[in-house]
Amino acid sequence: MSGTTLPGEPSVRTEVVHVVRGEVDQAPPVGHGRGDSAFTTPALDLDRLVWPRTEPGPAFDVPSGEIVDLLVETGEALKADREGLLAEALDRMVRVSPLPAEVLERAYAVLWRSFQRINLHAQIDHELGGADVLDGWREVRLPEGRIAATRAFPPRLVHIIAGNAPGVAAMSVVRGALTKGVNLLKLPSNDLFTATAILRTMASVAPGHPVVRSFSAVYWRGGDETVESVLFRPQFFDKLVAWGGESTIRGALKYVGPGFELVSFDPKTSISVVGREAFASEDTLRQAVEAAASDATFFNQQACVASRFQFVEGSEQDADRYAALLCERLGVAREFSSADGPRVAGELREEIDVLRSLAPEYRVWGAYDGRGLVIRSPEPVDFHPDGKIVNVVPVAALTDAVAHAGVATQTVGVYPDTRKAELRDALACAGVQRVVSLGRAGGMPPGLSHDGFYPLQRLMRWVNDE
Amino acid sequence: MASAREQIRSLVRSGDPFDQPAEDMAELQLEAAREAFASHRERIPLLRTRAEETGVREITGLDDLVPLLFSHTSYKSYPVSLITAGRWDRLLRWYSTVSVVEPDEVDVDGVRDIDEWTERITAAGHRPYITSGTSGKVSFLNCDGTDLRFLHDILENLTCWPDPLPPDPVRRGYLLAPASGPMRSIDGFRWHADVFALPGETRLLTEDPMRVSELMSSALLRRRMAEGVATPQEISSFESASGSREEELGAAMARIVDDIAAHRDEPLLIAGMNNQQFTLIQALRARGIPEGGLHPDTLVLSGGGNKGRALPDDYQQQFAAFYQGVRRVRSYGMTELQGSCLACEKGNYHVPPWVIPLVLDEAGEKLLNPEQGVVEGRFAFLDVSLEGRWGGLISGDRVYVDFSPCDCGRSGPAVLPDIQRYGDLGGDDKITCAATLDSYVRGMIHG
Repeated sequence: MSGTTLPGEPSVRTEVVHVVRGEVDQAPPVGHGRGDSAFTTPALDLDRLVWPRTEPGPAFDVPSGEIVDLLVETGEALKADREGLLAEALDRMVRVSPLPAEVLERAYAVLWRSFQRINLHAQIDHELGGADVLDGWREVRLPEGRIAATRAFPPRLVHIIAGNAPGVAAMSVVRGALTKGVNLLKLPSNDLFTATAILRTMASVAPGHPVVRSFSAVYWRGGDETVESVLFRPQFFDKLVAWGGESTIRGALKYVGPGFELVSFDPKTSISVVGREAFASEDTLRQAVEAAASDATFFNQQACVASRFQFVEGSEQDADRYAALLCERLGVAREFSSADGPRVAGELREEIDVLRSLAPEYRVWGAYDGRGLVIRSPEPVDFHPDGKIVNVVPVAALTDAVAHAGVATQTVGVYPDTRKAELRDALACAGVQRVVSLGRAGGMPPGLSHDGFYPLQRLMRWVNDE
Repeated sequence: MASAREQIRSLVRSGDPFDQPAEDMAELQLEAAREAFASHRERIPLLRTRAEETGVREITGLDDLVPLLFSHTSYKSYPVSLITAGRWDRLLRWYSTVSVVEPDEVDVDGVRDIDEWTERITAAGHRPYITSGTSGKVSFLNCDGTDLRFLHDILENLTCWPDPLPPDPVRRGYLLAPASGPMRSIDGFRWHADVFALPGETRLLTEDPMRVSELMSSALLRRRMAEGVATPQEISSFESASGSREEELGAAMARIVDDIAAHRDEPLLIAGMNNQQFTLIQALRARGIPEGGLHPDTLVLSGGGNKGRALPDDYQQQFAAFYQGVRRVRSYGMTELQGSCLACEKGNYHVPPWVIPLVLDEAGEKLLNPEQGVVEGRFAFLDVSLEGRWGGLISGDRVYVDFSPCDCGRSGPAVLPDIQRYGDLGGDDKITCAATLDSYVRGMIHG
């Protein structure tokens, strides 16, 4: 065999920082990944990734008011980014994330919003019924008149976070901090930087603070048994908080057992339903399309809330008018999307090319350049529209669209608002978790349920004194 | 003067098609690629669209071929609803966009199911070979009469290359397969039996034909589950039907094992996909048949990717150990390719002259073919021999291809033995919360 020509190794491997118990880890680097996506991380010291059960976690007894203050200060620091930690993370993210730089930039610029006082209080108040149960024992009167007490006790959590939107890291840090528990975050390969940038920012605000010491964020290859079989044990953690990805959830299930619970933010998809009111005038059509385009392009359609299938109440001709206009509006930059998205992948391109040849049952607007593409079809397409592709399906009545919602459907955007009430029970029955006004799919408001449950409530360990 | 494509096809009878002077070959291949592109562009709308979209008007070099390659999904890009709703004319229209079949060549009047639809196309002089993936949706890969004759030529001339087997019908045949069905491997096994096995002495796993609708049943059920209309009883029946089918096949396999054990001192023909072969070997071992315990004139055919890692990682080594001393066809190939890349004495898989190997980057966009030496990348190719469909395709395989002469003395190129699917290599573990409904139903019905 003669000399091997391999695609060149990247000259600079991206360095990934680990935070262990609130401090930047200084362990010697090890390599991960292949080709262009190769990176290094500090070698893992498994012993340092657990907090011994023989002692309470560092923040177990910190009053929630103090935690809220710390988070608010962290939010301010994120906004100012005086130490350039977010800028550094952003610079590295651009190299590994499938999202374009401008979208990442805008997402980073608003990370602080998750740390606003009003939002933190909304979570504590709506999900737990107030801070009293977090800071101490809440008295409850039993049916027979006896008085008991209950407390939302700090948990030991290991989080497998998703990397398709930077806000997931922020949300996980906020929830973890509010629980007062100990939190090990596993970084995903599509976001190796946001969580650590946030944690380092928090450490710069309050070095050595018990909440800071309650967090670690490290990378290991998802599913790596040498790490997961050791850490995913009730001796070390109470709950595995796993974000979507079918293989993640199925992989996690192996370890779930008595004393080690799964809190799963399941993989989800979202749709829109557009009533015939949209066709009342040019204005209403434009309004509906604008809202639908915004929902469809959230994080360039990488997010679970991003609408991929849109059911339009009307004739084929109505649907075509809607589709043509929608296609135009997909290629517009918004807060969380760029005008240009990723080019449509080869395999999808072929499926769509074939549908083009099946006209007039199928019709396609737009090109494969990532600026948006719309397919109108008599029923939903078999493949998964991805990267600013929307499938528009005409229906005779909005209630017919309910048949296409299921347990995997997270968010349903409805136009106009007045039609939500007529549909929400049927959608909920089909398995849907959020019914929103069209255009409101992105940015889940804090304090409401997420994937059908109240996260903060699920994360706590509820202990009674009877 | 014969066309370049005919000249290349005729090399199959040349004695050693794998050892051709590199420069002459490159020129002939390029000319054949031009011919194939010119004729297929006229007849295959998907190729025409692709050419227009990418602006490729003619083939001046291998780079021009890259944007014209299809992915394997193009051959299953039909909406499943066409099958569930029995829209056979529409399905035919779909087929005519990815093959040279013309809608008015085929009569789909009165077709009742996907098997009849497939038979009607066969009756019109084409063979829609199917391949099944883990999703349950099958691909339809069209071959015409020329392609089938060429496949037959390959097996008559190249079986057991580099030491071709004389076409003598002297073996007891065992085909670990159904009696018939539109799968290239089944046709291949049967043709091998015709050429190399004793007439009337061939045993089958089952006399039933393989039915496309049965292969697709999991995809169809999955669709009903996704629609929320499948009932628990329906799912249960599906599961138990597959269970009893497995039992029947198990019993048939046991009979074959007995027969092989009783006749292992005679020359045999044993043909089967890798997973059936693996089951067979386990059973023969359990019967006390030692490694190398079969007659040396025995011919063993195997194949099929290790989809979903159903076999242990070392299954190839286990095959080699058990079948030592017998004649084996060792090759790297896929249904999408006419005739496989066959292993030389050094164990490297030589690419036949009618296949232009195109090693691409992982994304499948950039051509990496060097003049000389080994290159790592995604295996793609243009099979210029194909008449029934466009032969340009991108595979899911990570390969190393050596473009220098092989240690066996023949000129290249050759695919080196370390072949893996990119899907199995992992590479990243990106986690996103966006998913398809598939996540919720997959795994509930057989993977």
